[in-house]
Amino acid sequence: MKRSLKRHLSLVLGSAILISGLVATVASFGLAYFEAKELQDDMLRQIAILSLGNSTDSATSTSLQRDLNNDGISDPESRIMIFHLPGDTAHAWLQRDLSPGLRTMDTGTERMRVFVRGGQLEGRTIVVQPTEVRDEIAINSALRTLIPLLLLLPILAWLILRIVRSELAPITQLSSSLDEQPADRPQPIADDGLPDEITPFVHAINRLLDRVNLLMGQQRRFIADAAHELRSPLTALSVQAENLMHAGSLDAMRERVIPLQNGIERARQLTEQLLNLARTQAGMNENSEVNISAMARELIAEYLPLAEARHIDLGLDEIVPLSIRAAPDALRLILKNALDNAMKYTQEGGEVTIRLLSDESGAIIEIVDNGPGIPVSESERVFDSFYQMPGSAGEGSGLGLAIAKEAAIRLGGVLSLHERQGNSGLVLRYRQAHDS
Amino acid sequence: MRILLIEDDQMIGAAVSVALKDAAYAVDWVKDGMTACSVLELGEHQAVLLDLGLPKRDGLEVLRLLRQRGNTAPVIVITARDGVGDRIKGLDYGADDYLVKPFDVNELLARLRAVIRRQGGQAEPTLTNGKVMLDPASHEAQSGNAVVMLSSREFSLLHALLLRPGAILTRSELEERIYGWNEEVESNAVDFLIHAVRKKLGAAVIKNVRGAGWMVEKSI
Repeated sequence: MKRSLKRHLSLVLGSAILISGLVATVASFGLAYFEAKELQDDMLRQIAILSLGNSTDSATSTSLQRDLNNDGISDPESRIMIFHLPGDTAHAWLQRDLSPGLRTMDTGTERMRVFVRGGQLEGRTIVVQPTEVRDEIAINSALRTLIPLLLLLPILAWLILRIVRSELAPITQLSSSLDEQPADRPQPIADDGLPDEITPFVHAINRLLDRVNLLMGQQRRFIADAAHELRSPLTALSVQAENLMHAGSLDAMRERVIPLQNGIERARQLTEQLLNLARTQAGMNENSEVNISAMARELIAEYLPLAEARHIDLGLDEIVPLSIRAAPDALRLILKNALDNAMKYTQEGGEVTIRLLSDESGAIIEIVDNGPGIPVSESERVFDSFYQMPGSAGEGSGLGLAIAKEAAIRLGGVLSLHERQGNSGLVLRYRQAHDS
Repeated sequence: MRILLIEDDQMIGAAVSVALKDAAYAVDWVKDGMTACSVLELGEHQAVLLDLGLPKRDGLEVLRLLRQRGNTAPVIVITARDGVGDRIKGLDYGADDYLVKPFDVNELLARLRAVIRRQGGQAEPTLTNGKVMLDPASHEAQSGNAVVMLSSREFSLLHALLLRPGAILTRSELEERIYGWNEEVESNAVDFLIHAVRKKLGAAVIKNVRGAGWMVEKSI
């Protein structure tokens, strides 16, 4: 369910203000209306009191009424009429026996507000005003109190939209700056000027971008290296094929097919190693309990013909029987590449041993040889893709140990190269912690 | 024409050697920068094919040293380093041409012919002294109206002479230009070749200067 924070905020704030505004409007209208009516009642009372002094003289009462109407005390539209009883001729609807006080009476044509003062004996003063006029005045004054409120409402709504938009602007900017990022080399996002609530977000995104960049850099280098490494076998192949064309005789041609076949084999091996690496990087099969002792024996059996051909003494040194949880394919790939490497750099008559041991932290598999060893400065670089030892004959792809290292990382283990204690030679050590 | 091939990759080295021999060059092949430097000091080669990624001594280093010593043999750099910066560096260090792996062997041979030709101070693709004309691309020679095809060795011999018309080349100088290190040279091999060339193009093509060696006449 998608929701826009901006719309949501504007809506909620807007309706809150609208509702409270409406309540305030209704309340202030009502209050002002009743207040205005009360004021007018008071006015009727005051007029009655004022006109009391002239109550005996009927002539003055009419002049008072005239005064009231003409002297600006009240505007003519207020239509206030004053009667003194007995004396003045009153309208028929004004009954003679009206008790003192305020009331509303119906004349038949309109409704009147009537104030009666004094009892029947001493003579009464009656002040009359049509309710229509009173209501109009009350409504007008009540409405006037509403004007500022009603004017404020749209301004408030506009302000809310503005504020919500400007408060959320950093987020909009953030997303557009993310959109503008080049996909192949995303740059970290600047976090200055961003609200505290968003910065952790930005930091997390930046960390992710860092990891993506690192990985992409590795991949880019790998592809460049791979393309570079493919050149050598391809060059050999193209020259070898061309040589075949220029062979003078069938025998010469046969002779020249052999290097071509070797060239094809070399290209095939490189391609396979590249595929292995790609597969290892893509992930691997489920873990299961792997019997290392059995796997080591299988591998030794597999490499024995090669070892015997080169008079290398290949053997197993099983200090403890080992069994670890791992992906069998990956583990096999590590050991195979390690063995390949050891066999390649060990001279005729040398010795290669798979040694199985464990310590308190985990299981250790070592491939030990007594070859020439390598300088300490190179012991990390040998794990780089396509790295070849300086002075090595230029055979092989330089991918074997890189693949093994990658597989080791996937298994959660550590692959490292060490000098052999006491003798010349190398120890390639794979260590995997218990329960990892 | 004797070429020094400096290439550490076993397969490429072997294949390029075969291709060069097919094209009638004498080829010596070394696999590292150190050996290359000491061999180049002898000055036995008329052209050098140089790989850059060499063990023991980098190809560019070899090139720099070669030029420092005043060796002017044409050098074609053959390498997998295809960056523009690498090419510029290679040419600035004194290479005459630059070829990126993987390359077509025919292109390599054509470029080789071109740098050798320019080394001899001429721009036309064929070599001539006015009497005989030699096409290094096809190994065809022309004298008068007769156009003949020469064998690899015959071509090498005539090519060596035609590169410097008017100069006398001794037997050992000719042998050096025709045969590589590992090739067995019969004592009268040069005589046989001269005989064969004269038979195809006429006796007057190659002059024998008694006690000194052989030459082709300089054009007038």
